[in-house]
Amino acid sequence: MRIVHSLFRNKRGVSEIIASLILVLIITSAGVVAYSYSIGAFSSSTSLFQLDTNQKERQAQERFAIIAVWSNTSSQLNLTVLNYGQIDLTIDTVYINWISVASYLGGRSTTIGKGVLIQISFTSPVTIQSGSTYEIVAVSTRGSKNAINWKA
Amino acid sequence: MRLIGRLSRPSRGVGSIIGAVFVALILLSGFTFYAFTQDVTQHYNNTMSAMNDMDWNRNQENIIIKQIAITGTNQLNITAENDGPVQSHLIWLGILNKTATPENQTYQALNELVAPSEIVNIISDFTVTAGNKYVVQLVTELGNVVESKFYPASYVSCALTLVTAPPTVYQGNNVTVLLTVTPNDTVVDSIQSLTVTLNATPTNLVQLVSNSSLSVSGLTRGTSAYFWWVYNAVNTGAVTFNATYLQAPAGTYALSTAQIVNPPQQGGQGNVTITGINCTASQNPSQWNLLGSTQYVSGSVSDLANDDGSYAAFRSHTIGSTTDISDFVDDATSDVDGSRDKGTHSNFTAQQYGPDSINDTLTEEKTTGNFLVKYGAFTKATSVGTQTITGVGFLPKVIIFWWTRQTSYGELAGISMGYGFATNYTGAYQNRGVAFASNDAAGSSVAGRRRSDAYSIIILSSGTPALGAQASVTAYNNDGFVLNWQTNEARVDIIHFIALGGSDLTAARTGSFDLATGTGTQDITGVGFQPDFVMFLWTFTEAADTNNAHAEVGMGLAASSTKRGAIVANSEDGRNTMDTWQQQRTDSCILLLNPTNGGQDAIADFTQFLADGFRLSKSDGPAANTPIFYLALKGGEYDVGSFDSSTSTGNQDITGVGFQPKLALLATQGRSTSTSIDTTAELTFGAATSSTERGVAWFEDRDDLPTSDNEMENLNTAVVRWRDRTAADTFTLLGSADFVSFLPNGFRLNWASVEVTGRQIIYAVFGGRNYELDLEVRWTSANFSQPNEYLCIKTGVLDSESLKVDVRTGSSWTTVIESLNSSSWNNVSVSAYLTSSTFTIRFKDGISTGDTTQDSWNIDVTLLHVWATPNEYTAEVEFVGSSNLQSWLRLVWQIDSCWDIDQVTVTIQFYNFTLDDYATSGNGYINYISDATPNLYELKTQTIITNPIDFRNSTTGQWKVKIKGVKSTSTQFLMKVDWIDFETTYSTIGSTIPYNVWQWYTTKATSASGDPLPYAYVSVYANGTSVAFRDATDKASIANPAWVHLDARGEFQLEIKSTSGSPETFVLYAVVGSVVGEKTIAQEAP
Repeated sequence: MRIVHSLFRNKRGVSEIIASLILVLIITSAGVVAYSYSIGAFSSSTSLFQLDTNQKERQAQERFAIIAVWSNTSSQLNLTVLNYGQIDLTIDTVYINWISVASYLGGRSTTIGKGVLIQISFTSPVTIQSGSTYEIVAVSTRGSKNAINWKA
Repeated sequence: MRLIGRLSRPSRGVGSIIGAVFVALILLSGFTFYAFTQDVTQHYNNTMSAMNDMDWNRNQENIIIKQIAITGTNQLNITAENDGPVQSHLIWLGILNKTATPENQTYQALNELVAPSEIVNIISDFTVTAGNKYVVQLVTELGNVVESKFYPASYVSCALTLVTAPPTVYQGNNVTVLLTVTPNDTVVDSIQSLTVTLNATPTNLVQLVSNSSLSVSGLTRGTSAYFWWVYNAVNTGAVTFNATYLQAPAGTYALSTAQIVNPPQQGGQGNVTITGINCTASQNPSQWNLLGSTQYVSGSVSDLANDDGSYAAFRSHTIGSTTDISDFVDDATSDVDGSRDKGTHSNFTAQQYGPDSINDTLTEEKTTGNFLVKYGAFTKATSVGTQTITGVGFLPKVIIFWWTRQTSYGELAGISMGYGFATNYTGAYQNRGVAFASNDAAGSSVAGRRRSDAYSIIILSSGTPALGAQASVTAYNNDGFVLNWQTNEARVDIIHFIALGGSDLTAARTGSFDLATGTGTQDITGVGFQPDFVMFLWTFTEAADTNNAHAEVGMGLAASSTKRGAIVANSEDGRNTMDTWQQQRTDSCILLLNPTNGGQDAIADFTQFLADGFRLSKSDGPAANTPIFYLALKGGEYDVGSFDSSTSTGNQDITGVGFQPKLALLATQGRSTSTSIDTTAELTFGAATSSTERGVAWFEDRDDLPTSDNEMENLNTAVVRWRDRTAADTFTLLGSADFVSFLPNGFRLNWASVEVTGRQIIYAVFGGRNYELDLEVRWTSANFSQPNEYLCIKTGVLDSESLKVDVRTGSSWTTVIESLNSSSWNNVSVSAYLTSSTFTIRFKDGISTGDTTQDSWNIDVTLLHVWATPNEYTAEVEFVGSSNLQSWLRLVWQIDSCWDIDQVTVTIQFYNFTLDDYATSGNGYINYISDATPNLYELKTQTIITNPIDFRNSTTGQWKVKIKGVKSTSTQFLMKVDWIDFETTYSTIGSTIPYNVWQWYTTKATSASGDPLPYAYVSVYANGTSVAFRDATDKASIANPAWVHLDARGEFQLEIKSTSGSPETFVLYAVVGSVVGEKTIAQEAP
């Protein structure tokens, strides 16, 4: 009887141990899933935040100015652009009276180092008439812009 | 249940832990994310802050282009100012050519930091073309651009303002036209160049007198340029002035009108008068006279004509006579110190004259020097341990031992003897010794030998052989040496020794080498120095410190390849009939016999000394390498030779050694000269350092006896001695000599016993080798009362050894010159020692001991220079010039001079011809002390109004001035006179003018009414060949002709000077309007 009794007791004991182990596994698995999800979410948020912040920061570091404008012909204009910001930049687009320049002769997409001048030549999308004033806007690839009013 | 309970409790615990870990990780992740975002945000904020700062600074910047001009090389010269509160960094200069088609723009990199309020000039690298329109840009690092439109005048509108002053002017008077130009263009910032013009209409009413510059460049907007013209109103009427500028835009001009009217007519035409006032003539000295003993140094009288730094210099002199004596040395016969002169004069008289390059050559004398020797003998200790030997009298460097095993002097049967030497080289002691023994009365010979490279005394107690005692030198002291008896026996055997020392003996070393087999040369090196003498000892090939049968001992001496000798003795052991041998040669330094048969084993001669040893030449090489001991000595004189013993009793002089020895070593076998090996072993060795300090040891081991019968002897009453066995146990004395003395070139023996035939004796003598100089010279009537007393020695070529000079002070010598310099004067004060008329010095060589080189020194002159220094110097010069005989109103004299020493008492005295003496006060006299700074020019001047003519000769016009400088000093000084000006002024009507003097005229203009014409312009002109004008008031030069204006009184004070080379008459004109004043003036001859 003692043997039988001990066997019963042992069987009950085995089932409780298994139950405990299963419970531990379930909790562990749930924890791993929750942790993995949270880490992924954190990483994603962090990356996006960092990317966004860096982009804003670099844009804020950009400074450039159109310091001279002159025309070669009635349609060709030349801009002298100075990068006086903290990082290199590239002029992406020029607008004349809010009309985007379609034909560039040089200087566009050229990296402008800090403190460097660059000349951007292009064909004006509008006819240049002497004595008239035009608004010229240069926009960098990071979205910074500089505008001047130029009297032909 | 307990088991289950235990199992279930741990399960819950694990779950909790895991849960807690996950919570912690989630919290940690959250915190990490938070920290990261904070970091990124902070970085962003920092960037924004930096950019805001930059923007703020950019807004603060304010660079202004103040002016632009075009340089002579067509570059732009831009003047910019930082008008802002922050520093600006200019990084680009740009220029846009607006004239070119198409327009073009050029940029030049800059790196110009401009501080607030700082103005900088920037020159462009590129060139521009005047007349083109340019826009000039300066770009800062912060992005600010300042630009200026730089246009030619043709594109610029300017405001012109024209004024005539006065608007109404009398005919003949001047009218001034003033123009102001102010750019007021709203576009152009700067005008490249602007040239104004002024036209008068009608043109005949005015005549241009003068004008300002009519051009201006870089005129900027809002600024004004001013121009003026002065016209003389020639004719009456209205004249209109029209001003504009070249290329001015149409309509850009200004007008102004002046009315020219007749002056008030009150009594007719006005008048211009020219009146002579006075004449001012300047004169300079035409000669000088040196007063006292003042000496001319440099310059000429022409240097005195202008205050221009060109000067005449004079050297001061002292008053009275001064003592200056050069007293040549009187004689070379003194001996104040009781020490004889050492060295020689070649020509002492040469020292008493000159310098004339005729020298007295002082040459060192060869002396015995400091080569110390001592013969001694002592009885050895009777037990092991140290034994100190004293009485040497100096610190030894070498000890040479020889001995017989005898406790008393005299003969003794049996042989036990030996030789040894000891040195101390580089702090270590070296000992070498050899021993020979042969028993007496032995039916079969009992003979043996022993050698040691550790002990310099080896005493064999038997020919077996058996060691009785051995000792080494272990210390030297100032009076002897210390032996350490390593083995000893209770006997008081007598040991003879020679000690060598002194500074002449510069190196000593004992050592060992193997005489190698084979013939030919053998270099023995490692000695450590180049010896001057070498002594050899040997036995045979046996190992050191071992007893060996068959006795052999040898000794060699060498001082050169021709001065050497060797001696060897051999006694075979175990021979029923004695078999003994001997050999003595003076053509060898080492002789080896085969101990077992007496055959020749080796013969080595001495070839030469080497830098580190010596060289041997073997004509007969040993059968086996054989150890040889050597004693090498350096420093001193050495000679090795031989002589035949005297055949008669009494003295025998051995000479030709070349020096006076201090030690003699003698060795012989008592045989006639022979190189062959003879029977019987015999050897005598003795040494002497004086007639009372000598010792000798002898032995003979007779050959061919059935029973050995031998004997040894030692004495301290002879230096050489030998016997021959003439019967059993009977050894008859054959030769015996005592030492008498050393001779200058050898030594002397006294023979008490002689043979009928001379026996060859090898000798070695030692002496010092030293060269000394100690020569006294003396003055017997020296002047010893002067404040300056110098010993002066002019030398010629000197040898390398220094030669010093000592002076005798009391009972000792004091060195005053440590080392005379070659071919030069060597002067030294001897004031402290020259205290009587007798003065003695000595020339002393720098190296007085151990000097192995004979030096000589050339002395040209030896003298005492004594003198008294003057305490006051004076410079005095009289300067003489000429002048005129006019009635002087004023005399102004000016003298600019200096002194090359401070604070000279200076007196300037002009000669008063009325008093017939130089002025001593008042007019014509100045006394002062010159500046504390030497060579500082001081201008002294005096104006004499009262009786100025007192200072000229009334008939010749001559004047003279005396300049005197006095200073209490022992230093001679210079007077430097730059300028002496004698300016006189006298009244004159001006009809005549002397050559090259300024004469004053007053030009006065009056109106017709006789009133002065104030401020009227006057044209002055003189038509002479060479006439100069100047304003009499301020002495400013005026051109000839010139326009001058009258003062408020209508006067102008004019001075003129004519410098025509010959007399001429010219006219001075003064013109006001149409009124002309004239004065005819005659210039006198130069």
